Amino acid sequence: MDILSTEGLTRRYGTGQTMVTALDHVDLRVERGQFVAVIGASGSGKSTLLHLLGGVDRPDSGKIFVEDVDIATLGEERLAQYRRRKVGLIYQFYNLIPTLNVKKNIMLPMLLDNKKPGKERFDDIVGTLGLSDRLEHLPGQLSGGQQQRVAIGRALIYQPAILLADEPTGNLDRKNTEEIISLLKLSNRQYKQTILLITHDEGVALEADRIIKIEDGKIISDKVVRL
Amino acid sequence: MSIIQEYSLDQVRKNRRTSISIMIAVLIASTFLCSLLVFAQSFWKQMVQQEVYIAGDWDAELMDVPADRLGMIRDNGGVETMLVKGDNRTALLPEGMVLPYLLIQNCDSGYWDSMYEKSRLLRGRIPQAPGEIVVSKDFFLQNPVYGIGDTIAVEAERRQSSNAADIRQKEEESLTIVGELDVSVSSGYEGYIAYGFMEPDKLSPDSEVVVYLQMKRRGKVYTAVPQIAEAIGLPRDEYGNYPCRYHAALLGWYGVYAPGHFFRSDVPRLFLGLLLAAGASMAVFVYIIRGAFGISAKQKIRQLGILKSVGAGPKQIRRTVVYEACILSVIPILLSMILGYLFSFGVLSAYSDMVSEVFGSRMEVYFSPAVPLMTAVLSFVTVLLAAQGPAKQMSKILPIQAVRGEQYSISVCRRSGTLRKRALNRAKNHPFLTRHFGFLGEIAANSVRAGKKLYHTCMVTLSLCMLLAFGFLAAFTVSDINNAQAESLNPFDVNITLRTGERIQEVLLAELKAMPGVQETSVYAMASCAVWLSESDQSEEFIRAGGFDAADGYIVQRDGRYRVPCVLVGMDPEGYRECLREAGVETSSKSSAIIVNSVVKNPGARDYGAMQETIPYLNFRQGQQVELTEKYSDDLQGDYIFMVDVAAVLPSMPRIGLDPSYYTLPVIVPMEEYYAIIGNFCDETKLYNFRNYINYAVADGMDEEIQGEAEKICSAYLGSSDFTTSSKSERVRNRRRMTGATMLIVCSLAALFGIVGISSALSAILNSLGQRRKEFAMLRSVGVDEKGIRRLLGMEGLLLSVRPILIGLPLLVIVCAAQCYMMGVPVMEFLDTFPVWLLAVYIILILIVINGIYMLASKKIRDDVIVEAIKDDTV
Repeated sequence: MDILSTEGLTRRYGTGQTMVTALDHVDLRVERGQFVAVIGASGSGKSTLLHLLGGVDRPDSGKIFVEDVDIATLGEERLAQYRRRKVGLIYQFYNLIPTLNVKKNIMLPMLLDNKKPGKERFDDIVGTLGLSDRLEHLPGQLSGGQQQRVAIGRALIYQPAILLADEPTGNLDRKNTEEIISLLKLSNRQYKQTILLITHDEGVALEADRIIKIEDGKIISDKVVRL
Repeated sequence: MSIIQEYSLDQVRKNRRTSISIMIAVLIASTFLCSLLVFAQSFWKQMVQQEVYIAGDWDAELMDVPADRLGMIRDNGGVETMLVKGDNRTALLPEGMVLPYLLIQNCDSGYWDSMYEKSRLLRGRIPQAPGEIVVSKDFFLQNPVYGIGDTIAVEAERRQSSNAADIRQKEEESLTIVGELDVSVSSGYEGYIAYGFMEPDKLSPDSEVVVYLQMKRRGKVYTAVPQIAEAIGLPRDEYGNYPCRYHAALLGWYGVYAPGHFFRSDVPRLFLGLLLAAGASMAVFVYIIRGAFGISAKQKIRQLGILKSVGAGPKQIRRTVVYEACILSVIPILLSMILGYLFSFGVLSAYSDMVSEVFGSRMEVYFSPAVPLMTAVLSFVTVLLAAQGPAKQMSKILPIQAVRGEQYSISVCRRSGTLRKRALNRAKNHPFLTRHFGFLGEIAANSVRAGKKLYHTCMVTLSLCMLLAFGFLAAFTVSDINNAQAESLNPFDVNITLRTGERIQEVLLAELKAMPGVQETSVYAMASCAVWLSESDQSEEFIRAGGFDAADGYIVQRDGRYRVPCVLVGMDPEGYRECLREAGVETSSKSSAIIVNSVVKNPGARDYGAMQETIPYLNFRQGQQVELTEKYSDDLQGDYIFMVDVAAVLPSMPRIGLDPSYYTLPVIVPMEEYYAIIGNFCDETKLYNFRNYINYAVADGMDEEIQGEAEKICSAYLGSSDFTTSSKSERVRNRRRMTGATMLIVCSLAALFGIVGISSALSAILNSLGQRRKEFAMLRSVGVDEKGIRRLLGMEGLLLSVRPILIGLPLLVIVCAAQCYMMGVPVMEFLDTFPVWLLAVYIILILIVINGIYMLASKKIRDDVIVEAIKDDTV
């Protein structure tokens, strides 16, 4: 059963002679609980695809269905709600709020909804991420790997159906990379979350169930490597 | 505290530089608004106090009230206080006094407390018991043996009118003089003015008094007072009005107007002016503070993007900016209450010092509780409006653009609701800079261009500061040139106005006419009146120039007839005969008049010289009879009609120092004829028209000395409020004082804009350079040396500092040119008078300050370790 799908998804940047088509009529289907890796060269359009799926960018044309709702047509408030509750985004450069401590950074999507996570769940996530003794620290006081764990914690806190990760290990060393991928796989298994992972690293891509390759804004290959 | 509030508070704490810049902008805006309100309130209070000082603190006056009805007035629910004056008495003085009578008016304690007479007290005190009196200064001047504390035995008689002939019951009385008043009365009355004390309860029931009322609800005065008059049985006059009068000037300052008078009075216009000034100030500050919030919002655009990407909605993003606005505005608004008061106090005290001699009184600074309250509300509204723009922009930006920190200027196309993006840092070629300063010149120009939005606030405020201060200075310069031109055409150097409300004593006029050292004297009186004419009465030349139809607003047309405004001029016999001789007429009948048949050819001309050009006005001929009317305006009560025989028609106004405006027709009559005519005018205009005007032409440099002599003569006969004098030198000095005082206020307000400009420049430069640390380090890493970096920064500083000048200067030139054009002042004459050097000083100051800030702010960049600055420090 598809959790997300796109139809003729197109995104262009710039105007006139400087116009670049980042995504060109992309059709894609992802099943619930799948772990998908998206690979491609720099500027191929993979990040653009992820941003459109995450509702942080708007397509020029095409449709994006998430659980049968076309998020491309949602208003600003509904789209924000979608980002808060339905999808978790993880960036390469962590993108944490530097003035909020680790605890609040993790709880941020729920706090924006004026909610607090259950203590058990929160403890479970921070325990799994190994951040229990760093909760009062500010992001600037953490290592790169720890900051990425905080970003993952933030993406997981609302138990979203989809996790979108944009080169989450691109800024990390081998040890931290392995740990982060393990965490994502754990999350995929434990919480039955659908994961879309963008990476340059073929080793990382091979950890996924399915590998999609993008070039010049088009899907040029789509292989299921694990059932 | 919600996460959004917490985030906003953290941001305020973290971004101290931007926060301080916003707080300074809010502080200045709030101080400005507070000062504006203090100025307005102090001005209003000053006007109220001045009116109370001149005419007393009362709302309505009931005349001819029988004493036995006073209880009914006192008990009326609408009356707050009743002030009584009357029970007039004429007392025969002992023999040996210069004048035989004391003309006594008695007042109750309430009257003495609230009315203006006590402010005329020269020495002593006001009467506090029956038998005590204060007397006019001429009593002591003419009878120096008497002093304060002396008792006089008089034969007192009740007096029904001010005329000493109407005398009835007599009784012996002894009166104690307790004070001296600065008042006078015409020598025709053969008595000295005196004021005594009365207890209204002890008045005989048949005596009549004047009652002044202070109402509980001022707003109801125009309906309540006629009801009171009716209730106590006062008779109506032939127009159906009760014998009552309203203190319209004072009521106007309290916002109370007679039906239909609201739009004709000045106070609503002044209030509207204040509203416009407050609104314009708020709009300017909204723009300025918006710039400061814009810098802050841009600084944290990436974080707002992160917030959006994890699910913060547009409303929540908007709220972060609004919360920041609220947090940052509380302290400045509170502080501005003190600063605003201190600023207003300083400026108004200095202003008052400069103009107190011109106005004869000082302006006190008032600070009522309403001022801080209104300041807080207006400032808060200003801040919220200012924050709305950046808040809306931030809420509209796509999360991914914000996360990437893309430098987009985003505005919403209202019609389509779509986002329009414009890259500000698009490179542009600068051939001139490239040719002369190499690639560093091009980098500097592009950097300044890219930071255009960042520097908006400082550019606008510094330009505004220049425009405000020098725009006003230009207005004063133009006005000074025009005044000097008008003064040079005025043949008279000293002007005296006598206004006693009755015919001026001949002895005083004779003394003034015989003033030694005067080369030429003119004496005249004047009264407004009108003549109804038909189209055929216009001269050919006047018809060619547009005729009556072109004088809309001055000449009223009704049923094919035109009401032409006239000025009836009374001249002393000698002057009148001289005018007749000038017209070639030797003798004339008693009711003869000289018509000055000239009208301004180009009333709309801007040039002063062109405005002096005249043409024949009407077809009046010698021997013609002309019917004139007192009713020159529809709302004037009197409608006395009188005839004059045209004895002569003059082509221009005789040299008496009177310059009738535009379409006014001067009708000159002998002084006796003048008094006979105005004697039939209604009371209000009659009193006004008794005024006499005396002008002197004197040798250069003598005008103030002669003015002083004239004042001495007038003081001997009149109370100080009954005459005014002025001289050319005094007028020039007063104009300079007024200009200086007004410039003080304008420059003080402009300085506030200057402070915002400098603080904003500091914040914008620090932010811009802070964001470009990496760029400079990179330039150094590829070999740009210390000298090159200095050159680059120096060039950026220079390009930045010339911008407010490039914006402000052309606008200032337009303002100056427009003023010269409208007032008909030649450009060279303007440039000769306008303080160009001061403008040059301001420009140099701006260049020094901005370049200084740039050099100081760039020190850190110049001292940076290259590798540390280049390192990616993204969290």
